[in-house]
Amino acid sequence: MLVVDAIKKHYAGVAALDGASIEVEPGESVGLVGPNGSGKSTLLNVASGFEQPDEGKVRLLGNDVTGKEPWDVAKLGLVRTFQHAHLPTKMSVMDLMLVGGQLARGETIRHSLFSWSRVRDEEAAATDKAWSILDRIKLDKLASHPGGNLSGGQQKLLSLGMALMGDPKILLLDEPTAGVNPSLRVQLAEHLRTLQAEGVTVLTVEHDMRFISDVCDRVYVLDRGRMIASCAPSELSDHPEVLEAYLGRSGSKAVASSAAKKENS
Amino acid sequence: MVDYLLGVGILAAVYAINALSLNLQVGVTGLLNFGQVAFVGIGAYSVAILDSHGVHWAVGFAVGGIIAGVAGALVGRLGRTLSSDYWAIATLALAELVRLVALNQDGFTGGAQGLSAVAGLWTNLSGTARDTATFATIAALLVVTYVVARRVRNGQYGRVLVLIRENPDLAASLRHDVVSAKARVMALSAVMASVCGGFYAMYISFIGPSQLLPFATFLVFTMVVVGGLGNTTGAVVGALLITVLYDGTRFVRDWIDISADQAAGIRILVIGVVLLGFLLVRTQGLVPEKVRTAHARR
Amino acid sequence: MTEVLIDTAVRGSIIALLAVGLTLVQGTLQFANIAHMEFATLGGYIAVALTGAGLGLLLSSVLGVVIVAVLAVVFYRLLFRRLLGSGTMIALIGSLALAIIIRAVLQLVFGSRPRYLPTPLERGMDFHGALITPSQIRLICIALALLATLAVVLKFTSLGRAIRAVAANPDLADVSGLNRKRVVDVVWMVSAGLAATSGILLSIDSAVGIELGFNLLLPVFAAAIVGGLGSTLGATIAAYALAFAESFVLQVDWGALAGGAYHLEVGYRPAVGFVLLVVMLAFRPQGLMGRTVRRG
Repeated sequence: MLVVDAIKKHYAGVAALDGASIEVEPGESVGLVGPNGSGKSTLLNVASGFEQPDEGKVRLLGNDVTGKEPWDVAKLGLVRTFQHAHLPTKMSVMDLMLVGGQLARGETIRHSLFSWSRVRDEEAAATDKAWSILDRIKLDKLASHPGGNLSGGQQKLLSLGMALMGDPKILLLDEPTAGVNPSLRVQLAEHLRTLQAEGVTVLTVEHDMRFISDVCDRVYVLDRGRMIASCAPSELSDHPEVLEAYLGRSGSKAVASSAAKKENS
Repeated sequence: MVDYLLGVGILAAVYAINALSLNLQVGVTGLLNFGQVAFVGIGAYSVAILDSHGVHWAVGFAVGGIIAGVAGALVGRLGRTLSSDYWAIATLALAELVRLVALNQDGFTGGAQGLSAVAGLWTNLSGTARDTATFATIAALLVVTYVVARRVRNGQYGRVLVLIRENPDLAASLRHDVVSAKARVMALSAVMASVCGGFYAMYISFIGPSQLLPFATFLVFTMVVVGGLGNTTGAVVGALLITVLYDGTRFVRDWIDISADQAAGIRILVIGVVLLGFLLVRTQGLVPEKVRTAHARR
Repeated sequence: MTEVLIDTAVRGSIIALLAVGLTLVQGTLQFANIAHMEFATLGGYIAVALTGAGLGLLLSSVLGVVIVAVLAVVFYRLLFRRLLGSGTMIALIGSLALAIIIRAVLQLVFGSRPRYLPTPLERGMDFHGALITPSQIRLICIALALLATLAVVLKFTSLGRAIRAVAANPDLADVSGLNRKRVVDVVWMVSAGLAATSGILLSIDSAVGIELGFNLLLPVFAAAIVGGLGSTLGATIAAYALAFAESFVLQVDWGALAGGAYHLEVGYRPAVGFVLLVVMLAFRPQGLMGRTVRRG
């Protein structure tokens, strides 16, 4: 599905990614964890076309997408969300849902001006779809509210809804639970499991270990731009290098393992 | 009095077309085009130059539209890696380049003297009848431009443009080609502006480099800001109000005893103060951009 | 060729004094101040007014610089801070509005004809076959001295460190004891002061007119952008390079390339800056000395 192969990326001489690779199979839900500054966001940016790698390749559904524009990557079926949603206050929730959809006619000037009825049908169909997704993520009552005025958690949920409007084959989620309250977090986890059951592949960057073990089949651990482990979420505590990466090299082993258990419980 | 009102009406309609074009760029898409007057100039000079060689004005409009459209698309693409402020300066530079060419290529453009006696509209009529017919023509064109701007703004393309203004990365992540969307909106707006320029040249039957000064762009910016950035109706309202204000200040010398120089200063000052005042006190303008409510379920 | 060099030194100095200030403000506030060039025009006219009131040229010039520096802080506190609160796009349009207002007020007060500062008649000196006046030599020396002082202050003093720290991290509230607000005030004063100096030097060399600042707008932006916005050294080098390019293209016999005689019309002189600016923006928007910006 998605293969990120030996990516190197430097900023002003500092390596953000130093040969990191991941491979996501169709239908899988994969987590990506690592301490702050380990290169998770950079990896997501490279995979989704928002940054060019210095070295390495990105393949999506058999296509080489290294260095492709983000929208070209997205057109192949990869949609990503952002750590900070930053939804505009000048667009309603419904408008944001529609802009996430594929309204090929309405997006051209020619059809907007000369094919009024076909554009109207397209809009109506997309609006129906938007309503059903909004029902599902329980934002239907807020459809006419400005998207940017929703709470942080609702914006995260809406971002997911917008992504779903385009029927993505693979979703890349950047810290979907950051700033989200516990009840919404449970909801979000449910949605992701449903999506996976529907055959959508998901790659989630996340700090919350419980969320990861709830929704992911497998997890990659990134540290200082390198992939140091790939295992089932429950096996994370068996990897000493993972704990080391998370808790610092000076922390005593006892503290480390007890903390890890707490995070995993 | 009727003639005066018709004159102001024609001018306001011409400016309204210009403001609709600029609003699509600045208000809707957030593209700060400080060189709008270049597109107007391309349209005006195309009509005037071809007319001076005996070519029908309709051909002038077509040629001007094509040149402006291509120029607009190229300028839009220039924004590929630019932050909005660099791009704004680049557009100002390009407009000044167009003015320099108009000033220095005397063979084509008549140099500093410009081109006068451009073919007028409704030359078979005269007096009030002619002004009325001209006004009706330009008003019809304004209606068409308004409908086009509104259709574009309120459809999916408009949503994409607003999202590009507010959060371009989000737009790109949702498979919208940000570069092409910008280039296309610039091309469309440039064509609108060049049509406006063509009519302007025909109406006053003159075009010269003095009309391509950056102040001409500034005036239209004031209209768009006063009307309400991002609101299609606002652009028309702003154009009407500012045209009346700017044209009205022509008579400032009837009221106070000052030199022509000072009168010109006052007219510019009034516009500058209005713009700065709105930016400081009522940034959203008189007719603020609306958040569109959801369509009910079927 | 000597003529080209003198021309380059004079015009380069004028552009550099403005470009470094523009780049400093851009560096600290992430906003391109279009009204910056009007500080030069203001400086020139204030000097004209003060000499007209009987003050000496030197005193008038110094007072002109000080007044413009204070005015700039007033503009920042009353206008730009508020405009920046509504976003950089609004601030950019607002700075254009302020530029238009300043120009309109000057036109109201002084009329649109150029004004001259009372300078003694000078005899041009022969310098390797070209003429240079003592005031041009003074202009070049003052500009270079100010640019060097600025470089030293930025690099070695605590004020300079504070300015660079604010530029590097605009969100930081306090920078090593120095209040961020005060740092920004100082940046406005310094950059407006340098701009006024540039305007006065130019007025002494030729004359001051309403369009003085506007005519410099694009060359100055070209220098600041080519130099990499935020880099004062880059802006300085780019200013002199641009001035050389402007002077050079007019001297070259382009027709010789095709076997004729064709000199570019003098009217196209400003075009050099525009073309350089646009080419630069299209192909290397971060400038020669600027940091690469992350896309996305």
